[in-house]
Amino acid sequence: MILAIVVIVILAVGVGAAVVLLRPAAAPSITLWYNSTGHYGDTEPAVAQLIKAQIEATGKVTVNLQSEDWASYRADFAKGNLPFFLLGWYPDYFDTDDYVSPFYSTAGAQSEGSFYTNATMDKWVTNETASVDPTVRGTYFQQIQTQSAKDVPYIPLWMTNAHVVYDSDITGVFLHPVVFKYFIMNKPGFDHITVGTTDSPTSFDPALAYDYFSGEIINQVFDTLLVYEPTNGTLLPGLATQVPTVGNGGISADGKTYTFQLRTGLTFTDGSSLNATTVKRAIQRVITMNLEGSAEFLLEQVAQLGKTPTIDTPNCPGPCTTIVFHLLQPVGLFNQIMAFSVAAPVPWWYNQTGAQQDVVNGNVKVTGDGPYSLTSITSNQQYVLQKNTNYYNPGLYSAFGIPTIPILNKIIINRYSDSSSLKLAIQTHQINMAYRTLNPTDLTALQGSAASLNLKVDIGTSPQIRFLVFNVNKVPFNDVRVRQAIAYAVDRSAIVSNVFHGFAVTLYSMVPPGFFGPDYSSPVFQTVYGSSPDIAKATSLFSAAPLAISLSIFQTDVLERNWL
Amino acid sequence: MPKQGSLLAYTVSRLILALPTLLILLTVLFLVLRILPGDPISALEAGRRSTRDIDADKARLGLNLPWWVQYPVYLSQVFSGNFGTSLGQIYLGQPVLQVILQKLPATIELAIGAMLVATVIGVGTGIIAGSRRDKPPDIVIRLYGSIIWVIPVFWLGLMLQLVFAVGLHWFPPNLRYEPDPVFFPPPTRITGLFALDSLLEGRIDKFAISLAHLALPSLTLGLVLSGFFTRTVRANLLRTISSDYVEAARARGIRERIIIYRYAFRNALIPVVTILGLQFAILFAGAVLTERTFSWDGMGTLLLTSIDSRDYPMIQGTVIVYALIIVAISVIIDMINGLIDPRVRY
Amino acid sequence: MTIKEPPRAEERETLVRSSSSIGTLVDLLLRNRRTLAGALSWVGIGVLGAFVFVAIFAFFLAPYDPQRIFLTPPNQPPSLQHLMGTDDLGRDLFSRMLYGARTSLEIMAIGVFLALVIGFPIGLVSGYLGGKLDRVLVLIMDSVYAFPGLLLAAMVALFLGKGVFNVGIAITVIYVPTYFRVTRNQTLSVREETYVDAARALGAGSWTVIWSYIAYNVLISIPVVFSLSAADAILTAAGLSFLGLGLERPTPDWGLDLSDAQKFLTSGVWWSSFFPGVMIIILTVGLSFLGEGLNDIVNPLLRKERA
Repeated sequence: MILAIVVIVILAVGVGAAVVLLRPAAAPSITLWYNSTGHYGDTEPAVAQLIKAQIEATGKVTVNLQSEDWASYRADFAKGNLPFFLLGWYPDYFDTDDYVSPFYSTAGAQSEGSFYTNATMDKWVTNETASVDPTVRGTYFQQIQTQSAKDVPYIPLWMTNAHVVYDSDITGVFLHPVVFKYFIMNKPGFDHITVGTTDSPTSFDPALAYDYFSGEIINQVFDTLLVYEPTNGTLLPGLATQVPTVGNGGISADGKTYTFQLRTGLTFTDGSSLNATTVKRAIQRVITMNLEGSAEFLLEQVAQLGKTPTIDTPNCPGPCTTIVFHLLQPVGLFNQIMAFSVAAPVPWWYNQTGAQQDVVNGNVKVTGDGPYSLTSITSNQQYVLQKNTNYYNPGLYSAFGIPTIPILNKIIINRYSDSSSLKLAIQTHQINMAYRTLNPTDLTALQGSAASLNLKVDIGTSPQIRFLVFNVNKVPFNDVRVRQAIAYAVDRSAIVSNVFHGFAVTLYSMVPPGFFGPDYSSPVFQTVYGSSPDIAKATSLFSAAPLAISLSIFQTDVLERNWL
Repeated sequence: MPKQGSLLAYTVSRLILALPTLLILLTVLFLVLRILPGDPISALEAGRRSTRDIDADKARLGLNLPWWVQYPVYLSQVFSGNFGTSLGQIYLGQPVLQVILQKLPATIELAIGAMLVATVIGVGTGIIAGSRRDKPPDIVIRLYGSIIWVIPVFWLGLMLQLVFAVGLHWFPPNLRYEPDPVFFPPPTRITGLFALDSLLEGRIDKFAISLAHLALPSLTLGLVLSGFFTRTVRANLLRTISSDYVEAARARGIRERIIIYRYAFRNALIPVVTILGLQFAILFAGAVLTERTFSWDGMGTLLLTSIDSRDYPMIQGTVIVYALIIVAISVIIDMINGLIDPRVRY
Repeated sequence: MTIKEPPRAEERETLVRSSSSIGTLVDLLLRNRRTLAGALSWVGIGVLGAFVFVAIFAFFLAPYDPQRIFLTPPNQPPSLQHLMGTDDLGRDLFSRMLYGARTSLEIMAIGVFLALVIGFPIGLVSGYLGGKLDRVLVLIMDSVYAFPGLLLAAMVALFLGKGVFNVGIAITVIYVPTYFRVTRNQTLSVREETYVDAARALGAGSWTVIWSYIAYNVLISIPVVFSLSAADAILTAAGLSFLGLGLERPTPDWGLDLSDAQKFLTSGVWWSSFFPGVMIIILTVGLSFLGEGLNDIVNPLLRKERA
């Protein structure tokens, strides 16, 4: 009997000893965080492990991987708890500034978790937003990017792909960089389509929503003052009657006053009125509530409306169609921001102290004015968009060959738990379209069998960028040499070819090339760090920063949540 | 007081016993959910709600109070059905109990389907094995029983999907019903169980569709559970076959076949009811994994989603409802046992 | 899963104060080695032994470092250089399977061993002393036992975080009631045996009685429970990994590798899902054979029927 216990103990000790003895000696360690619940797709764990291996190739550091669910991840990096992590960014508006302010301005860097602050950079950012002259802006953007490669608060890695797989008879499918438009799609002989996705929304309140799927729905249901042409980034009048320019007096000479004329007779789908007062109230609401994680900073800081915006409604009451925005500084891209969902007017009765609940007592409360209305929500399972018969401008795209929008009567969006399930569903024609997100291997397979399955597989480069973030206040990343060493060690091509099977593009600057009007992108990381990893340089930089790294051993990696 | 040995007395005594069981389960859950370190609310909400709201939520949920104060509040909340409102991204603001009751029928339907499959396969194979003792069918079935329950249920689900949905196109690969509500409107919701509702609606076509979608998930979960049925039914059959009254029947010259079917068979099935009850715990665990594989919108998916979004009230609510169901089922099983086997009542 | 409980004491052949119940066990095993039950047990022991050996000597047996990445490209089918192929990050699957045995056994050891260490003494004391303490403990343990194991483990893992030790603790929580139950039942039976009464009559103290007489004979039933709960523990750990609550990458773990590889199955990459799944199945089948076999041997009712 004693024998039994002894045997068990020996076994346990033996295994334990072997485990301890045969593990390699621990080198100084750093922690890389990533999201494991699929927010960026199922490929994220593979990316994290590859980067870990690439950094460890220097032999100077060990990389511990840590992962979290998305809610905690977002909270943690915003609070500054994550020292080194993977992140992504999707453009909100068609301007290069959208890849610069959020990262290199002090306020932006704080919400992106890097806490980078550089007064000169702030000045350059303010200057480029104030100007409309491409040459002037180009100089600033170049300066910003060059500095970014020196300070390395972020390491740009790759640009993702955008893809959509759908029945080959569906028309009007276009991978628009900012607004995916269901209302221009058509399936001849059908009055509706079913779409599958793996995305989950946060909220359909424009004052809070700041993630892709929420925005995707909001863009069908809420119109903004200005909207985009079907396939590019040119602005069209939406709720407003014209796009403000200096020429038509919509923009003042000093660039600090923007005047919009609203159309008359606008209403939301519940009949409540939409006039200048409504718009003013909605914009103020976003800024006053300042919900954490929302895009409020786009209005307050980027659009320079400030904490207490000065918005005039000179002809209210009455026709109540004129709305005048007074900016603290001139902002060249104000119109662009007015086309983003955060600026979408909401009904006057929307919750003024918090996000409007999407469903109350089983009733959908999401009320907009767009081509579609959201008529049914089965949380996390199905969302039904139905044609808004009172849409104020069905002929919006008549100049582009689309007489009325929306074309289809209903769009039904179904959620699947993961990419493999989504692939199974589109493959067996359970759904008409699969949008966001399929695995790269599944994409390749579907591409191959597309013809026989009567499917179309559209793949385009998306302006979504993926990058590493350093919390520059946390040891050892407060030493720029450590950050530069990692910049030398990462192998972007390996990630692109092995994880994404070529469906992504290597990226050498936080400003992606080739999208918005003038291309201000400059591949600074390639210039400074090369396109292939330089392990020798990385190793020597790590060696030059020994104090920083050895300090990190004593740094606790345990997350400082509010323990009891 | 109803007389000793009556069904009523037995039921009452089981119900009385159920309360402490429930209480203990709730306490264990309370310990796990509240005492373990961490401030889930802050972790959850920072990033989505203002600090003012976060503190208000904490105060409202009573999470900033010492645990001995929280405990009675927690218990009273549970028994009054007040599970609070969701704090997660997806169900923000919706009452937890309401969401749970919406998703519960899906899991119940899956559970019933899986139980049916498990019982039919398990009992069938158990009887075959028991009645052909130590012959090849018995050995094969015993091996099956040992192996089938160790196959990871999520792996089995994927295999079945690939073979029957993608390969043979016999069944749809996932979801509870066709994803196109215009071409295939789902049954009007009466109980929330699609198969039942479609029958109540009188629509055989809807019934067929719900069954088709129910097939693979039930098969997955049912197969894994059947192993246990097989072994237990076989063991019980063997025990009954060698018992005295069967020996007596044999001595009287009754044919073996009749002995098996009339005597042994029926008595061997008595413990099956008990097994059914015990299996519910395993069933719910397996259902979480199965629901994930088949994008089945039930309690399991709800629990996973709330874990992913750190929706603390929803996690608590879901887990408590599981506990309630399990206690309820054990009471029902005990009652059924009392009904068919009077010996138990004493 | 419900562990089938070994029979009551009066149905057993030999029940004396044994200096080594493992001696009795081995004796029974050897005597029964030609029966199906005996054969199953020996198969189980063999499987377990093989995996323990692999776990301890993985360092020497594995052809490559399980973390080493061969991007040539990844997802290579089985070949001479890579016996089980490579996974989606180009790591040698065979090496990962060998090291995965270590992770699985570590979790199993921590989880089940701790459950034994906690559940056994409590069950012993509760069964021997009886009374109010016993009733309360039984109620508590039965309630926890009734709750879905995976869900309880998921709750615990959620709040403890990832890691081998934390998963082990989560598993311990599930299996303490099992060990408690079995131990208590056996204790109850043995307690009524005449020789125990005799010992008490002769003035042996409670502690001596418990330890010398009851514990030894109760321990014979432990290996059965151990094997069956160990098998279940491995499946639970795999389930936790599938739910994203188990271990952190890139720890080689069968459950984690299996769930990571499933997304490639639909594109024809079968080996990265197949081999982890097979490993899990072989080890759990081996353990369940061991448990079943031991159970059949130790259970004389079935033995009587064989006559």
